[in-house]
Amino acid sequence: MTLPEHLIVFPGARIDGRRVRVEREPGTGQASGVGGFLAGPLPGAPEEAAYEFLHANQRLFKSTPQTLRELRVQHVSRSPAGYHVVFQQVHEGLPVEEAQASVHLTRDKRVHAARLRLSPQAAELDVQAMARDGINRDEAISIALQRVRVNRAQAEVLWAERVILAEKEAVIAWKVSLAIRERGAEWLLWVDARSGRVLRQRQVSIE
Amino acid sequence: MHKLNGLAVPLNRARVRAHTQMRGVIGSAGGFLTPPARLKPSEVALRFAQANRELLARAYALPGDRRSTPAHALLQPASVSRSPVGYHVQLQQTYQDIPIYTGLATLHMTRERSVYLYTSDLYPELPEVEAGKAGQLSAAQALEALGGVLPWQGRTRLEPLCSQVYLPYEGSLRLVWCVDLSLSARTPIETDLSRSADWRAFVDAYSGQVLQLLDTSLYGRAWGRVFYPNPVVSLQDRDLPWHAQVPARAYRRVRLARLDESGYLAGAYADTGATANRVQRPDGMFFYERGQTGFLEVMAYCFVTRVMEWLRRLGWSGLFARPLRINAGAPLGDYSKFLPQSWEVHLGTGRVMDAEDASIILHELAHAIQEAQVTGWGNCHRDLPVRAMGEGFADWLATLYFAEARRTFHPTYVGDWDARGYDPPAHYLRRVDMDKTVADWQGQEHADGEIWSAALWEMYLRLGGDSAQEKTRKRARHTALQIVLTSHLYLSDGRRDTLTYSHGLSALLDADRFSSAEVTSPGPHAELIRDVFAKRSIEVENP
Repeated sequence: MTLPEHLIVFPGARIDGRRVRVEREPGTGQASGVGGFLAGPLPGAPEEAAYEFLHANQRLFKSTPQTLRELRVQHVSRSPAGYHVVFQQVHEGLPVEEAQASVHLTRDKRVHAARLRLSPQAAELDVQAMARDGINRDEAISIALQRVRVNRAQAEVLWAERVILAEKEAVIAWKVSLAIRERGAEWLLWVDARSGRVLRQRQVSIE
Repeated sequence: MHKLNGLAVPLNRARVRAHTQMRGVIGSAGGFLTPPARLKPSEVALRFAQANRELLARAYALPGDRRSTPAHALLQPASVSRSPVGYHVQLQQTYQDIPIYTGLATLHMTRERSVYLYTSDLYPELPEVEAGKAGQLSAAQALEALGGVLPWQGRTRLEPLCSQVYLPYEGSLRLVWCVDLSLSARTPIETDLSRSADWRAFVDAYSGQVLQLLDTSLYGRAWGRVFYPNPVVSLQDRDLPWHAQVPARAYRRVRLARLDESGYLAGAYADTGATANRVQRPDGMFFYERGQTGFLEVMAYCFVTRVMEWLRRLGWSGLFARPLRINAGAPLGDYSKFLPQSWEVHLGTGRVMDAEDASIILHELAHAIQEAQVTGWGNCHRDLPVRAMGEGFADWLATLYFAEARRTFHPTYVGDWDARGYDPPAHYLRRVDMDKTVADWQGQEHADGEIWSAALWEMYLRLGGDSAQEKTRKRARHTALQIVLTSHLYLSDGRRDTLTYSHGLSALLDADRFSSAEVTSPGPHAELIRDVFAKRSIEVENP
C-alpha cells in the first residue's frame, strides 16, 4: 500500500475511510487494508491499542462484533518502526485458516496501517453440528498419510488439529502436519472433517 | 628446575610471575621442586603455604597459625584432584568462615607430592564491611531485591540457592548474597533476561544492589575451526577443485559462543542434535578439519550462532523461541532444506557437503529467521512471489553477512564452494547482482528470487555498501538489514498467496518511513528504494 507524502492525522482510534488510502479485495471490493494516516496515540499495551483501532473502525472493514470478539492475539513484534500486532480469527475455539488481521503502530502507539483478511462466513458456522458424524483424528491422519504415499513408520505426525477452512464455503477440516525426515520433507494437509476428502495439501519445507 | 631441600621457596630462585589483575601480588611461581613427602596432598599444600608466607601474599593466615584471628582471612583446603601428573590442591580463602569469591590458590604436585607450581587468585585486602552488622539483608530480602532486575518469580526450575560470600568488587571486598537460579523462559522472550538459563547473581548484603549478574549457562568456553565463509573465498581461488587438500590457512579458529554445558554443539540458537553420530567434547575443543566427523556440525553451529548474535546486538533479540535443530549431514543429496513445522535445518551432502559452505548454512538460517518473524511465510505454492521474496532474502542475507570478508573476492556469490562440487563444476550457485527484472519471471522460486535479492543488494550498495570507508559500509549494512527485517513484519497477515513484489516494496517503504524520527514525511531512503526497485519494474500499486 502506497503511502502519501503527508499522513492524515486522527486524534483518536477512529479514522475517516474517505480520507485515507484503502486497499480492497479484488472480488468483493471489501476494504482489506488501510494506510496513509496516523491514529492516536492510543493508550494501553500495543495489542490493546490495536484491538481498539479495529473495534473503532469495524464499519469501514465491514467486520461484525462477533468476528472481532473472536480475534486472538497471535504475535506482537517489536521493530525499529514500532509494534506489529497480528490477530488470528477463531470461531468456537477453532482457528480460521489464513484469517488474520495485522495492525501496525509507531513507537508511540499511533496506528498507521492495518490489514484484515477475516472470514464472516466462518463466524456463522455451527461447529457443533458440522463436527457431528465426522471423521476422527486418527482417520484424518491415515487419509493424509495415504495421500503422500507413506506409512506411519516413514512419517512423523507432528500434530493434527481441527481448523476452519474458508474458501468458497467454510468447512471444518483436520489440519495434519507430517514430516518425512529421510526426504527432508514436511507436508500440511487439510482433510474435510465430514467427508474425509483432502481439500488442500502443501509441501512446506523450503530449500 | 631447582630442587629444594624443604618446602620454602627462595623467591630469587623461583620463576615468579605477577598477578595479572592485582597489583603487587604474586600470581604464580614455578621452576622449583620441593622434596617428596609422605603426607596427604592437602597437608602438603597447607605446609607449603605456611612455609611460603612471603610468596603467597598477605592478609590471610592458616589454621593453627598464631595470626589466625578474626582479623585475618584463612586458607583452607577446598578440593584435591588427581591426574596422571599427580595432585592438584585448591586452597580457599575465607574470612570469618565466609568464602572470598574466586579467592583460591592452587598447588600442583607430582605423584610423590613434590610441589612444582603454585598459582594464586588470593585477594590481598580485608573486607571493609564485615558480616553481621546492622541492616544486613536476609536471603529472602536479597531475592526480593534481585526480582527487580531479573524477573525470576514463577520461573524457577530448582529452589534458589543463596550463600554469603565476599566479592572482590571495584577494588574492595563486598559482603554479598550469591544467588544461583535455574530459570525457565518467560514468554514472550523479549530480552536475554527472559530466556531459559542458569543465573548467578551477586546482591550486596547491605544495600540490596545487584552488583553482578552472570549467565552461568554460558560459562563453557569452546573453540572450533571453520571455513570463513568457505575455502574458495579464504584462498581466493575461484577454480579450487572440490577434491583439493584444503590448506591450513583456509581455516579460521573461532570461539563457539552460547553453548550449554552438555558438551554437544547445542546452545541458545542452534542444536546439532538432528545430526547422526554427533560429536561431544566436554573440554570444548571442537577442532576438526574437512572430512572429519564434527567439522560440519561446527560450521553449522558457529554460523547460526554468529548471525543470531549479530541480530541480537542490532535489537532483534528473542527471534527464536527455541534453538534451531540441525542435521549437518542430511542424506538428501545436494539439497538443503528448512523444515518450519519441525523447526529443523537439514544440510545436504554432495562432493562438497553443504555445511562446508557458510553461505548455504546462512541461506537456510534466513528462512528460519523469516518464519520466526512471520509464521507460515512459505506456506503457499512455490511459484508465488512470496516464496521468491523468501529465497531472495535468504541469498541476500548470506552475502550481506559476509560482505566484509568477501569485499574483494566474489562479493555477490552464493555457494561458490558448494558449486565446485557440481558436475560439471561451477563458480556459484546463485548471485545477488543478476540483471533480472520481473519480465524474466519464470515461476521458479530460486530463479525469481534473484530479482528480489539483486534489488536488496543494490539498495545496500547505494546506502553506502560500495564505499571505500569501512565505517560507511558497516552503517549501510546495518541500515539495510533493519529496513528489510522490519519490512517483513508489514507482510504479517494471512494473505500469503496474494502478496506481490509490489507489496514487498511498499513494506520496505513503510519500514523506512516509520523507523525514522519524523514519520509524517516519507522515509529518508524512500527515493533510493523506489529507484532501485523501479529498475526491475517493481513499483508500488496505485501510486
